[in-house]
Amino acid sequence: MIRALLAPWMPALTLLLAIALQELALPWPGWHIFRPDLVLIALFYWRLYRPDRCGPGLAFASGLAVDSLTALPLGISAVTQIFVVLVVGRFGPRLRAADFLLLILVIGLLCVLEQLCQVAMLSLFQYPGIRWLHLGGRALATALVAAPLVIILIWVHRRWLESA
Amino acid sequence: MDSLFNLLKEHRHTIAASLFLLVAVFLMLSVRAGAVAYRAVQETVLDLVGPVQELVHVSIETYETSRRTLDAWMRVHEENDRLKRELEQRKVTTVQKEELLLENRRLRTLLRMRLEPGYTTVSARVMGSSSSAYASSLTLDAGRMDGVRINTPVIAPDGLVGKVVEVGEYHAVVLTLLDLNSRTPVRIQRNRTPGVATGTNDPLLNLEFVAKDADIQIQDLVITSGTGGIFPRGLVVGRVVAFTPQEVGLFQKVTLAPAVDFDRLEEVSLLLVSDGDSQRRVRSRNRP
Repeated sequence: MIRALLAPWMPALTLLLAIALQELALPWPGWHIFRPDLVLIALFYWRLYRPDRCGPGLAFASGLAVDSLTALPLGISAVTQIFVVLVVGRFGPRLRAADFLLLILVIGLLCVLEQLCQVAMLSLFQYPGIRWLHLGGRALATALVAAPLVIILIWVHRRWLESA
Repeated sequence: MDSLFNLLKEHRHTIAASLFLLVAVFLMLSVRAGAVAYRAVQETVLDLVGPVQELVHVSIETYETSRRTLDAWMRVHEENDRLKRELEQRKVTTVQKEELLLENRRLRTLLRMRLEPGYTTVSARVMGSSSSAYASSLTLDAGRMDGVRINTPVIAPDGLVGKVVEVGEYHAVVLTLLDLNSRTPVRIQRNRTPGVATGTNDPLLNLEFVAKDADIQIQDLVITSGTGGIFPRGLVVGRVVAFTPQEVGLFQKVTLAPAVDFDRLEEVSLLLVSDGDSQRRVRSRNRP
């Protein structure tokens, strides 16, 4: 009963958890630079394997949540996350057939593109300059964390969505 | 009609994405920080995400505390000796400080200076920090229920951290001094030269609007000036680490190193204006 009720909300709940973890302040050196984009990985996974449960609406909502927590202008992350959902949706069939290593590379690339889009949009207000160290560090951390996170998402997917 | 319906159904994802994109762009261009809609979204998100962050943070903190405790046990004797020596030294400085405090009070009375409005503090833990490289904000586990309001100044033992820009019931978002949008009216303590400390999204701050002929020295202490009505005066902001007199223009370029190490912030204090009502709330929910 509970499983059937929660199952449709699982992608949204995992995204909420990803946002909470991603925005955590941890007293670890380098966390500011090598902070993985967990929301991107979760969005990528759900859009790829359960596009019926992860559409532009969810991407928009998660983007607004990230913007409000990071004090960025409202809508910036929403735009980039809708962009991610559109790209993954467009190349979904090909990506589903691709090797896992290639998917990790794609996630890293999407992370770079997402950040570049954010810089471009922020430039509308004031040019913040591209921070290459943060950009590279984040993409690398995201690619490295992608594999274990996807394993957890597969588990959630099978446990909650397939058996519900 | 059917064909139109089929067409819409076929492209529903693209249509939905385009609509959401339009809404996002509209929000980006029209909604400013402080707007009612923006606050409503932020409050909802804070109250949703805050408890989850708190839960994870407590687990991590427990682990870190256990590790530190174990570490401290290993060095307890050595530390004990050092602390005894430190305590002896502190006794002397405490007496000196008390003397200075009394002298200060006497002089203020003598000059009949108006004191800064009284502030009371509430401490908070730093639960979250901005994941974006293009913003610098912190999420705290204190909110409206603790008496926190928009623009409440936030300090750490080393100096000023920033100001609250969003408040939920139990959580608040702080815009740090490092953020590109941060502007803090300051003075150089030594010669009272005014300026505005601005964030750069980098570890250093800029000190703007400092007159070209102003006397600036490396290591000059920069404090809040108290103008603007947000920060009380005298809070340490940072020290001058570089300055370049400009050939043209009215001002010189000054760079500051903030006094606070933002990468290692774990606890902060919020300065609440001490009216009776907010004090009662703070007392009832003050953290250890």
